[in-house]
Amino acid sequence: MSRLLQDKLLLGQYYPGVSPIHKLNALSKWIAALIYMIALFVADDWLGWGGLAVLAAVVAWLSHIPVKALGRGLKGILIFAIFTMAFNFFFYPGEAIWQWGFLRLTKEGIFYGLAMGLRLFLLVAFSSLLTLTSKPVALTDGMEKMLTPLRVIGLPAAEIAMTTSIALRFIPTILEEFDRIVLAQRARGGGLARGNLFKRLASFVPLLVPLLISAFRRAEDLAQAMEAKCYQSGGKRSRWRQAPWRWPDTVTVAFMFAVLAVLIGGRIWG
Amino acid sequence: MIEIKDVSYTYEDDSQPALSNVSLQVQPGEWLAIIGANGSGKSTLARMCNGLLVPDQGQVLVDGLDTANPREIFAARQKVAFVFQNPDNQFVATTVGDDVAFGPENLGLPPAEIGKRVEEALDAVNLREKIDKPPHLLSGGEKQRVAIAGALAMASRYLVLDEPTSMLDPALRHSLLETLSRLRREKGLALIYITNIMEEAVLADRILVLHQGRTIKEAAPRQIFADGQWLRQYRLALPPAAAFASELAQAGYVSLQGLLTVEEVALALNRLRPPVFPRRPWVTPKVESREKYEHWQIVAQNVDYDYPETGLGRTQALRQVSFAIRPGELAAIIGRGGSGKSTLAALLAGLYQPDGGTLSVNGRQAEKHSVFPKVGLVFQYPEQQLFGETVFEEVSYGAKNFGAAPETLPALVEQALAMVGLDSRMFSDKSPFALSGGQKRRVCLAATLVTEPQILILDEPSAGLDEGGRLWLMQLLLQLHAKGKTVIWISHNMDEVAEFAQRLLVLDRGRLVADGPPARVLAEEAELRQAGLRPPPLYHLAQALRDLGWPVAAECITLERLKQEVLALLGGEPAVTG
Repeated sequence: MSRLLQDKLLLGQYYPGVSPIHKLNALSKWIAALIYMIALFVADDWLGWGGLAVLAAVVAWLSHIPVKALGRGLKGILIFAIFTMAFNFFFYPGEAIWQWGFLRLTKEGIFYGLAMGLRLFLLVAFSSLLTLTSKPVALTDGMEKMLTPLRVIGLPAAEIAMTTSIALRFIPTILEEFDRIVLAQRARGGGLARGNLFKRLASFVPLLVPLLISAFRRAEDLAQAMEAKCYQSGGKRSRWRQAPWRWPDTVTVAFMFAVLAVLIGGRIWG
Repeated sequence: MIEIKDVSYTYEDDSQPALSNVSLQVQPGEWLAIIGANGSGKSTLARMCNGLLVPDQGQVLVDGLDTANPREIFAARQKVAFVFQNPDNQFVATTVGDDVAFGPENLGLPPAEIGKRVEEALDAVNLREKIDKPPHLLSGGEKQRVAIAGALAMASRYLVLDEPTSMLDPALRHSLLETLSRLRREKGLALIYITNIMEEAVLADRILVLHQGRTIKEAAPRQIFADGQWLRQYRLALPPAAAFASELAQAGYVSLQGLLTVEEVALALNRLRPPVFPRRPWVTPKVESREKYEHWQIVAQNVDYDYPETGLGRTQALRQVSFAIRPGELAAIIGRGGSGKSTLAALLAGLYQPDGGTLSVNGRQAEKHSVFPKVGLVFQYPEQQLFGETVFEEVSYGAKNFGAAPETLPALVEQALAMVGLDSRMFSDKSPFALSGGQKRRVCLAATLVTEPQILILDEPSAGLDEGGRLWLMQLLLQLHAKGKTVIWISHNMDEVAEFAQRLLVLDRGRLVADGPPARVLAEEAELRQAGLRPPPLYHLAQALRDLGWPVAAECITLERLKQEVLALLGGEPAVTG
């Protein structure tokens, strides 16, 4: 079960490689992803969305990640995007072009549905490219650097990055644990029940309680291990791995800003 | 020097102090072992050494730095590194290199210096080539070595280890101890070593015995292990060679009194050696005939199992595993970590189905989505799967799931709890989470016994228990066996299987490499080593005697058997010994 879960979760799964995208500094990738996200919501016509889709495709191609690997991880979000689309199709207010009971297919609904679905899909696809091409360490280091300016408003950038890094580190461990608990309870005749909603929810208790308790125990152990190694929340740390900023990073960021500028321009004057 | 001065400590929710007036000194370069039953305060004392806990009363000084002083605590912590029991939960970063770098990063060292330290530390534990590996692809032993490398990278002078080998198989345990004693020699690292394994404690310069938070005795291993009777009252035991020596001393060979190591015992016996050994025919082990049994209970024929390849666990595939088990057998499965033992257990319970070959249990073939009826499987560290609000809910869960009528539950639960020595009137309404570690383990066993299994399979049931707990558990298995149940358990403790199992199945990399009585299986040292195992400690004593020319039969691997053999060879009555 959790194997399925892990396959669906592309986030935090590094796909080793030496492509130009892999070689970029994680910070520039973070900035690029952020701008891409803003751009998706600035764009308001098919030309803009189409352009951004092409951009995502080009980056995917440059990253040398096989379509199959990418597709497997995006299946989950694709289903979600389709669901969002369908929901908008039928429930968006507007001029009905087809009606059956309470389901009203509207023209506006089709437009917004398609747009929302595409945006959602592109958003996740593009950020997946960021995580697939960056080692988890680089990813969280880059995240910390990106968040650093926000320290002035009191955002604990280093702590957020550390927490994320630990979460990434423990995802496989916790999933493994979940598998073991499911097996153990099945050996006692338990497992996820069929039947009504209440029964199903009740059958989750023997799985989730041990999982939560174990997560807390791990957290406690880990906190001790970190403390034993002189970690201090808010303390000054140095970094072993240094990620140099190279010219392709500057080009990437500049290019992304240009894309955003064009889209904003299009919206103002277009 | 670490100075612990008259330290007392009580945990917030406890009425009993975890430590009372403990004093202790650890010199640089020294090896100190701390032993004591579960709950004796060992881990609390360890956490005092580097200021993870600060005493309620008394003082802890690390090279003069007071751990209670917030300005000195970090300097003190740098000097005292810590290796925890669970290798998984102390791994902070996403790769080996980053994890070792974590400590130096916290010290704010420059990147080049951190890099140098990371590489040197990983070299010292022979893990340089794993520098970019994520933790879930390492073995337990490798994770513990990463933790030690993390300590070296901090340039610590003292290393506190809290039962670091308790989750490792015999070969990994052995190599970890070798690594530790080499580092101590080369780097002058002091070791504060908490253990439940007496053979490991013998390696120390000095041993501290804790009981209910108090120091009972602090002395050299020889003095601590002088009296088995005395140790037993603290739920401790003699190391195997010393236990053997003490038995012979009681049989009249007083010169063996107080001997500790295999070498000492062998040499002392050799001094008692009669002029001529009695001649005796060489015992050729009987090859068991392949008789047909009418009712096999478990029949595995060429079982293959391919585990889906993901990062999930280090679960081993099984290849062409064939064996058969009669009703009422008492068998143990041994093998190195990741050899497929737990996979086999899950197959026998019907949780997994073979991908090739056939497996039948109680005459039923394995099929998808249904576990084998009347097979109970107790997982490793089963207390990690507790969920019930009350002991009753926890124990009755299995019976209910397998269709017991609600009105029969109280009787079933009472019976199951009685089997594990718990009074249902006292325990039924308690929360299982409020129980002690040993009681939790008992509740978990009851939670499986309540389903009245004919076949009971247990995955490392004695892991994490102290000697007293282990003996209790083995007695329970023997009782169940005596009632006609088939009992199969997985173990990493060679002494335990030598003494209690009637049959051993040895797995190595997914293949069944040996199957037979322990006396035969455990006497093949070369084969065992190939399978990542070691013979039990007394095998080494028998071997040392053979090296001295004693005709000790190979199958003498348990205390009782070796004692008989040696007494027979010595010729009955003890000579006058001086």
